[in-house]
Amino acid sequence: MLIKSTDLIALLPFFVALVAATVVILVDVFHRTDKPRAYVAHIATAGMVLTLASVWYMHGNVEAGPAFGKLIYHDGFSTFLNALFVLAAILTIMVSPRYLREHGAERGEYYALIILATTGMMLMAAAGDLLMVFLGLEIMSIAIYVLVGFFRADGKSAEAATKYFFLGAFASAIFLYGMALIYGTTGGTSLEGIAAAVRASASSGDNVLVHMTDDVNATSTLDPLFYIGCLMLLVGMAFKVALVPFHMWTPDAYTGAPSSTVGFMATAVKAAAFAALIRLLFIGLGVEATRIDSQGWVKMLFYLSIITIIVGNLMAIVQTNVKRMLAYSSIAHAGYATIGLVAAGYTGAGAGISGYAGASSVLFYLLTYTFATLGAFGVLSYLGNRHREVTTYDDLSGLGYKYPAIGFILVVFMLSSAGIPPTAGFVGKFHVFRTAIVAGEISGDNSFIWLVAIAFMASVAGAYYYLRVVVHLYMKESNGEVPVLRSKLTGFALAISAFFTLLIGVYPTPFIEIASDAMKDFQGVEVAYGPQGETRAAGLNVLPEEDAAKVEANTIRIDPIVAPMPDQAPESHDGHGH
Amino acid sequence: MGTEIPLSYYLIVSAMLFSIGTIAVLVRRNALVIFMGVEMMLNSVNLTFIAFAKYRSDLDGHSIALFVMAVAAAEAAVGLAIVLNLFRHKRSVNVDDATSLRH
Repeated sequence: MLIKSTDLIALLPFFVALVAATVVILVDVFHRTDKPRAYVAHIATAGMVLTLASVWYMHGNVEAGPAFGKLIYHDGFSTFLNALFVLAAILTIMVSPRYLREHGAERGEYYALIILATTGMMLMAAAGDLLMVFLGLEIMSIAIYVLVGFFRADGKSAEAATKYFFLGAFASAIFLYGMALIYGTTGGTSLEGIAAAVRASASSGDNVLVHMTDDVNATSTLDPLFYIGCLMLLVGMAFKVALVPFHMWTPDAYTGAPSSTVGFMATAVKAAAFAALIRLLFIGLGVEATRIDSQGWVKMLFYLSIITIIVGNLMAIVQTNVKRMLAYSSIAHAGYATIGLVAAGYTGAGAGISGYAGASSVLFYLLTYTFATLGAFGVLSYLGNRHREVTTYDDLSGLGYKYPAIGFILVVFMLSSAGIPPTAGFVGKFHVFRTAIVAGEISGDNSFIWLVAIAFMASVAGAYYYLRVVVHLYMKESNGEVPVLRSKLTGFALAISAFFTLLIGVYPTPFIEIASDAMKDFQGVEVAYGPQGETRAAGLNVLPEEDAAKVEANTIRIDPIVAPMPDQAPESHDGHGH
Repeated sequence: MGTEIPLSYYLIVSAMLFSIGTIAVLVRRNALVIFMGVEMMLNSVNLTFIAFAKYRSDLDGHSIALFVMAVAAAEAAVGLAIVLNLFRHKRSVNVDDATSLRH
C-alpha cells in the first residue's frame, strides 16, 4: 500500500474533530473549578461547526475516491453521513450545558467525548475495510460507554453504563470473530477484496480455501466458515442498530443514561451503525446478495425488520416511562429503516437505480428520524430539575398549557415519530415504504407487500403511544409544579430540530435529492460488481440491460422522487411527495 | 522444524475459547467474570487471526491482532471504571443486583 500525500486530505474532517476534542479537554483542565463553564460547550460547538465546514469543503473540492489503499473512502455517502453526525453532535452539545450543570455533572470531557464519538462515527461511514469499521465502532462505542455513565453519582446511570458496556463489548467480540473468519477464508479484510473473492469463487466454482486445506475436490463455492463469519458480522452490527432480538440493552441503557446523551445515542450511533452496514452489505456482500436462490443477508434482514417493528411497537405501548417508551420506539424506527436496506438488497444492492433508491431512502429516513428523536430527548432533558424528574406520562400532564412553546415542540416531535403529516417522519416512512413496494414490483416478490403492510399496521399502532404524550400534555390536569431549565441554548437547539422536522415535512424534495445524490457516487460498488457481462456469466442474478431499462422506467413512473433529474428546477417538484 | 501443526487445530482451539467466553458472558452473573469472558473472546479472535496469517504468510492478520489488543486495553480501562462505579452504588458486582431500571 502506497500512501500518497493527497490521501491526507481525506482525513481533514477527522483532524479538525480531533483537534477540537483536544482543545476542549485542555481548556477544561485549565479551568478554575468554581466558575460556570458553559463556554467549554461553545468551544466544542465551534469545533464541530469547523468540522462541518471541512466536510463541506471536501464535498466541493476533493474528488470522490478511495484513500490509503482503500482503507477509507471519500464520497457523497460519507459526506452526507458526516454532516448528519456532526449536526447531531452540535444539537446534543447545545442541549447539554444547562442540563449537566443542573445534575452536578458539568465537566468538559463530556463535550470532548461527544466529539470523539463523532470521529468514530465518521470513520465508520468512510470505512472501506473491516478493520476500519471495527476501529470506528470502538472509538465511537468506548466514548459512548463513558457518556452513558456520565452521572457518576446516579446509580441508574452507573447501571445503564454497565449493561451497555457488557453487551456492546460482547457484540464487538462477535463482530471481530466474524471478521477473523472472513479474513481467513477470503485472504483480506478489505471490503472490495471480499467482494472480489466472492465473485471469483462464484465464477470458477473453486473453494477459496483450496490452497489451505489441500482439498482439491472441494465443490462448495465458499467455505462455510465464510458464511458463519458474515452471520457474526451481521449479528454484531444488529446489536449496535438494536434490531430485535439483539435489542435487550436498549431500554435499560436509554432509561438510565442522561437524557442529552440518549438523544445522541438513539440517532447518531444508530445512523453510524447503518452507515457501516450499508458499506459492508453493498460493497463486501453485495454480489452475494444477487446470487440466484441465495439471498442470505437480505432474507435475514427481511425477517429481522418484521420482528423488530412488531416487538418495538408492542413493547412501547405498555411502557409508562416516556424515556423507556422512546427507547422501544427507536427500536421500531430501526426496523423501518431496515426495510429500505432489504429493498436495496432485493434489487441488487448498489447495482442499478433501484438499489440506490433503497439505500438513499434509508439515509433520508435517518435524517428525518434524527431531528425528531434528538428533539424529543432534548425536551425531556429540558423539563424538570434535579429534585423533580420528568419521566412518566403523568409527569407531563398539563404541561402543554403551562409551557406552550415547549409543548408545541414536543407535539411536533411526537407527530413526526408517529409518521403523521405534515412532519418529516411521515415523508421518511412514506419514502421507505414506497421504495420497498417498487422493489417488490421489480423483483416480482409478493412478500414485500406483506412487509409494508405489517410495517404500516405497526406504525398505526405506534401512533397510540406517541399521541398519548399529546393527550397528557393538553387533556390531563396538571399535578404539581414542574420546573424547566430555562436555557436559551437548549431552547434554540430544540427550535432548530422542530423547524427542520416541519420543513422536511412540507418541503421534502430537496432533502430527498440530497440523500439520493449521496448514493450517486457511492464508492467501491463498481469494483465489487465488476463488468456486467462477467458478473452475469458467473451466474449472478444481475438484471439484463432491457430489464434495467424497464426498472428505470418503472421507478420513474411510480414516483419521480426515486430518481430525480439533477437539473430539474425546484418548481417542477410541486405536487408530489406529500 | 519437525511437523507443522495443522491450521484446523488452531481454529478448533480458538473456537473453543470463543465458546467458553460466550458461555461465561451469558451464564455468569459476576461482572468481573463476564468481563473476563469478553476478554477471552477477544483473545480467541487474536489466535484465529494469527493462525490464518501464518498459514497465508500474510502480515495483515498480525497487525490486526495488534489493533485488537490496543482496543481491548482501552475497553478494559473504561469497562473496569464502569464496574467500579457500579460497585460504589450497589456494594456488589453481581449484575443481578442491578435491577433499578426495570419498572
